[in-house]
Amino acid sequence: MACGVRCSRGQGTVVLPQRRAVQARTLAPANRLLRPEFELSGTWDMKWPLGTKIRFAFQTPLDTKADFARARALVAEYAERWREPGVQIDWTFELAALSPALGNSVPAPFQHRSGFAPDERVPYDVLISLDPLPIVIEDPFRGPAAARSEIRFPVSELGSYCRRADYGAPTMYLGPFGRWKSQGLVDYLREDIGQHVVVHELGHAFGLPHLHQHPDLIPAPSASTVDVTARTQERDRARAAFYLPPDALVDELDRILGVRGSSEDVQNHVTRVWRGNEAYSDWAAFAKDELQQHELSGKLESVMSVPYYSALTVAGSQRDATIVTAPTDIDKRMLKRMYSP
Amino acid sequence: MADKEYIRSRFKRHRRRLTPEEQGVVDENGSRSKFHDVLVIGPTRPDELTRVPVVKTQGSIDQSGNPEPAGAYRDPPEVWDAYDYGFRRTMSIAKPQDWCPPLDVPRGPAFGTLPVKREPASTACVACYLIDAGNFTHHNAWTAEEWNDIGSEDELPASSADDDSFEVLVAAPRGRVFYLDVKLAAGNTPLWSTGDSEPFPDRGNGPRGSLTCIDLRYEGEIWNQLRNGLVAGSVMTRFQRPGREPNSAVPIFNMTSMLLEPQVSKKGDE
Repeated sequence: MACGVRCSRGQGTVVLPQRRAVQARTLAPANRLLRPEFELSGTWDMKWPLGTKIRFAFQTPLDTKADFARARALVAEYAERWREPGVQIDWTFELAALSPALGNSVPAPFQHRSGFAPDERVPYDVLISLDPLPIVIEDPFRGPAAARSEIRFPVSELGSYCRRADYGAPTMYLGPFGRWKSQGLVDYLREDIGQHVVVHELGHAFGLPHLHQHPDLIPAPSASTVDVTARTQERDRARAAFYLPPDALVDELDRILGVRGSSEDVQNHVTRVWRGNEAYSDWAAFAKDELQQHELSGKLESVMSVPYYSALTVAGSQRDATIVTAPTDIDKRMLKRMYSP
Repeated sequence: MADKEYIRSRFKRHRRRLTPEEQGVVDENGSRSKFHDVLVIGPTRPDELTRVPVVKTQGSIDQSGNPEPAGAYRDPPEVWDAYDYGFRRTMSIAKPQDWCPPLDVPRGPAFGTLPVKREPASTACVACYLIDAGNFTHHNAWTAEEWNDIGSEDELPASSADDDSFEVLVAAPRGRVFYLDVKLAAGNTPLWSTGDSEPFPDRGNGPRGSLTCIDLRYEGEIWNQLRNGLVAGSVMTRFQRPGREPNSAVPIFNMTSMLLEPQVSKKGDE
């Protein structure tokens, strides 16, 4: 999901207020970001507290002919692929489903939400929509830049960010999309792409980031060890050379998935390193052979990557590209890194 | 399921929420307003959120359509519920016991500022002060009244007034959180004299406390609350707290929220 609004600070003269709690700081504001400890953002921000039992619920599809019960059962079945001993989170799928999206019977900011009575709310953490994509969400409260967003690819809020969505607003979209859009829901979920989508998005709901955006996956030898911002920029430069150019990535994803994203989309979700400070993030280490295989052939065996990932790399090829439908070793190591103290 | 018309009417209420443009949350320079609504959760109505709106930028209108000075709290409070934008987001931070284990221990921010960091689905106009009166008590060891103009009984001190120890988490700069555990007395024997400044020497009555820098990697609730603007409140912890009830919340205070930032003026303003 896209990041939200960020404050910017202008340059200027520091003016001392009349009453101060501490001695005036003499450093310019930009100097405060030089040390890694100063940047607190990282994957810990979206991690669930240990012991959480994540409650998944579904929004009833708009298509009443969809085999909703079977589709729900498949999603719950695929979730079991994430079971790992020693991992201290759990989950449950709620039996009660929320009603379908209200649509244009209510004002724009609420149309994607389920209707509900105040005393009939189902307690949940993650709400899953199985409606076909794209889905347009109008939300003027997000400011003009983000007021209208179109969900074209399956997507999920990351980890505990699911708790921020309004009641009845889906936090995960798993419905048929792109070249599978006209397929029946259950048929789509049974395909490799459907299985990949479900397991991948559930991984995001557990708090896992994309593993192809792992900061150590593509080396950046000249990256700063001190300045988080400079380090990120160095890594982005090294990574950009590893993948097809942005326009070619858009074309390739369109070919693979049948959905045309934007150049900004592919950079945010493929080429750029995952944002944040590693000191406050959980990243499992790659094995040496995993890194070598990736460098030589663009192959990355991870369900938390893009389908047919190697086709997006300069080193890889369309012919050898594969799709992963279950958590692999690196995915499980990542889950344990996050939730097995 | 309630009547569909009822549900639609809750979403279409006459009291329309103003959009960011109408509220003027971003001024002519593109900077976000520094004035924030106040959200209040009362002690006896924990499922209800009351918003006290503020006029966010100079020249903008209040909820009634009248021009008011920026920073003014003029409009009457409004009650939010689950139909309102931002309600679930706020309650998830205010009531961690709704989703973080253990689910039956009340805790969370007594006072906070939310949200304060970029994140998915953050929005320009939901940056507020949060007061949850269920997460603190005004009747504490320091505030019992000796004289009282209501009734004829003296107010007794709070039950915490004679506690023989206390514990607190202090969030400090550089991403550090410290757990302070201080023993105040051993039975009737005070362990501290005023002026004591040495770090916890044992005076023959056993350890007088400890100060520990906490590893936050698996302290998800501490991290979550601090990163979501907690100033003061209580949290559940994972690390071992010898001699303490394991299923009890620990008070926590973000001392960096008490450090005022120097004001930066644009060149030419002086």
